[in-house]
Amino acid sequence: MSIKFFGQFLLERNVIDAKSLLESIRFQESRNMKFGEYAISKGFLEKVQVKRLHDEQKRNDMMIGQLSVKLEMLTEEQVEEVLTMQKNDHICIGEAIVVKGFVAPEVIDRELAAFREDQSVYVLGETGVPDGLKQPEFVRIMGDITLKMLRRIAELEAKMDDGVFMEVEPGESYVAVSVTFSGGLNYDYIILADEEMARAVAGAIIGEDAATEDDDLVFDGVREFGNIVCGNLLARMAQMGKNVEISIPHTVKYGEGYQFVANRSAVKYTIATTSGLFALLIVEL
Amino acid sequence: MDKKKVLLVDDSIATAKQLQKIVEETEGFEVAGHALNGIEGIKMFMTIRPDVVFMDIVMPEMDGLQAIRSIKNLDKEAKIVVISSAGGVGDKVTEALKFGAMNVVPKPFEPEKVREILAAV
Repeated sequence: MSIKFFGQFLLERNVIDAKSLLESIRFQESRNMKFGEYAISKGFLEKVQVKRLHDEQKRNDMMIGQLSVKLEMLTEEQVEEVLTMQKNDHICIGEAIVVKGFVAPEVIDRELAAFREDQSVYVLGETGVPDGLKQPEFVRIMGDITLKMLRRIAELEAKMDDGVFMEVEPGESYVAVSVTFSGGLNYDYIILADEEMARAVAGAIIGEDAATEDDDLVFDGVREFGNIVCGNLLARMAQMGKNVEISIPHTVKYGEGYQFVANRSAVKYTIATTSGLFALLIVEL
Repeated sequence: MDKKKVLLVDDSIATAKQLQKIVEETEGFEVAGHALNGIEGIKMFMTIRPDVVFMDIVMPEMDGLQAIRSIKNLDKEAKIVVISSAGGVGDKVTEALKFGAMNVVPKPFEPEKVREILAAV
């Protein structure tokens, strides 16, 4: 069992083949325009303003509509109009598959019920925290902000499972980046990423495709991602009255005797994205 | 006319690469050097004499705050812009501004914001 998207679920159950699924996804993408695209089509915003909103969103924990009002680019009425258009036009992948004629509607309904059952253990939009942690609210925030920043900075679709306690050391990943929190909260915050994921994150940081960049630059990009996320975490924690310090992010060198968990309380969150695997390991110190 | 020189001081090559791209896309500016910590930054400042320095705060060897102080001691007119991770090091940014930094630019960079700052140099 793992977190997955509905299309993947259908594929695994042989309800649809990969080619038809891809065609349905493309159709869905052509129909589901983004907030900015609608705002441009209505003449409410210029392309450069949408770009600015996306950049600003990487630093602000706000929805694009709220942000556009805050920055006085749109009125609340205009935001409402755009959101209504977006909602009315939006189609789900199941609907796209049916429209394209690949699967009958009654089969999609049946599969959707099975999918919801399968995925009911995963909470969307809120990080699950296993019982037994000293400061569960802060671990939850670490998970939430990491997921949000991954979506916003790297612009990836991402889903996170509920955290699980790690009794053993995680296996080696392409890159592992660690940041230590000290002061009011004492944690090791560790990012583990496979190569595809790491290159996607690094590319987002550099501002261009990192598919062929050297490993060192990719590692550096992931460290910077960790730095930005932890900077946001510090800000959030400060709002909650916790003054904490963070170390400079460093890349963990795997070798004999490396230890992340070391018999301490460690929670691992696995984040599935459209560009590889990302995991977050939070260790109580 | 000669281009204005920009010195980048940041331990992250990825960050510097993104910033370099923005600077070099801005007419009239070029990146004259990239230092990986505060000590290197001071040395490069002395040799390059840049028109503006973009300085990270959290770096190994010598952090940005110490480097800003040293550079301002060497040249009161030096123009230094602080690079900051979003919100995370608010008190340190305030301190950097007190030491004479002219502005702050948050990461990840918004090109428009960087260009606005460059236009003021």
